[in-house]
Amino acid sequence: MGGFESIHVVLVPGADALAFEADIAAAAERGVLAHVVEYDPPKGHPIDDCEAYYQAVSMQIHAVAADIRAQAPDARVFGFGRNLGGSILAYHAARPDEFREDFQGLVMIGVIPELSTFRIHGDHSSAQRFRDSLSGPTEIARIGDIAPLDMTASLATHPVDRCLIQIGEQDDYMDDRAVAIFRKLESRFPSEWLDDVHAMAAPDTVARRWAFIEALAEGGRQS
Amino acid sequence: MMEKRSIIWFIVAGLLGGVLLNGAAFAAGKHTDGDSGVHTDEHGTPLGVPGDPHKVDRTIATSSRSITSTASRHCP
Repeated sequence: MGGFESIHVVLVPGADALAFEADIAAAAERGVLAHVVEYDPPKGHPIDDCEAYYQAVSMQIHAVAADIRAQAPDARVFGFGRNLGGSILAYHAARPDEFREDFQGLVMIGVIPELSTFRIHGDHSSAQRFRDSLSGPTEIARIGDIAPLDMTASLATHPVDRCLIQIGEQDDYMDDRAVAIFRKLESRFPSEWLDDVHAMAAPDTVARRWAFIEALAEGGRQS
Repeated sequence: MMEKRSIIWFIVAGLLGGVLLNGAAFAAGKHTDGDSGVHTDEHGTPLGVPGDPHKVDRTIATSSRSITSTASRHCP
């Protein structure tokens, strides 16, 4: 069981709602309570309504964390965010209100570091579809408006020792621009380059993020 | 008698049509949660037209639900 007593993990999936099966199993093995945030995919304008969407999902994340603390005031709560869920979890942790205190540590799993850059320049089909979903060149020129929601922007003021970034070496969403951004981020945050794909659910990947929160929990207990 | 048979055939055809449409939507989508017809990739971008992943499938991209769900699931 190690250092997992009184730990709760909040799992924020990507917008495809891919289940965190490996992490739920890992939680059960360690006697940790896992809480999956279930949210709907984006609706509304992809640029103009983007922040409102992040805020709405952030409210859901806060509700889950608040519920945990209401039932277990001494709980240590960690957040795992995959893909878009990671972007939103980082946004949540950067909020200028009490929401930023919801988590003792975060793990960013397969998160595109700058969704705005990816969507402006990316050759990946997801980036091309995003541009295709807009009404034309005028809107495409405004994609940069969502840059404040990028993971890089959200983590700008985050405590460096409380966030792990996991990057898949086989992740086809991560283009050269993303890799260059991660190279800068890894000078600040613990970062792991792993033999994994976008879902980041390989056994070694899962084991490493659990080791990270166990170490954080141990440190928190000693301080 | 003839009318009754027509009604039954109408209902059967409707049910079959529904099953086929649902199946096609599932095949085209990365994920569907059963009742919503929501189809996006991991980053919330609408999925592509079958055969052209770079183009948005507007027939399903417009069917997304509201963002007001508050559900969470606990996994002890």
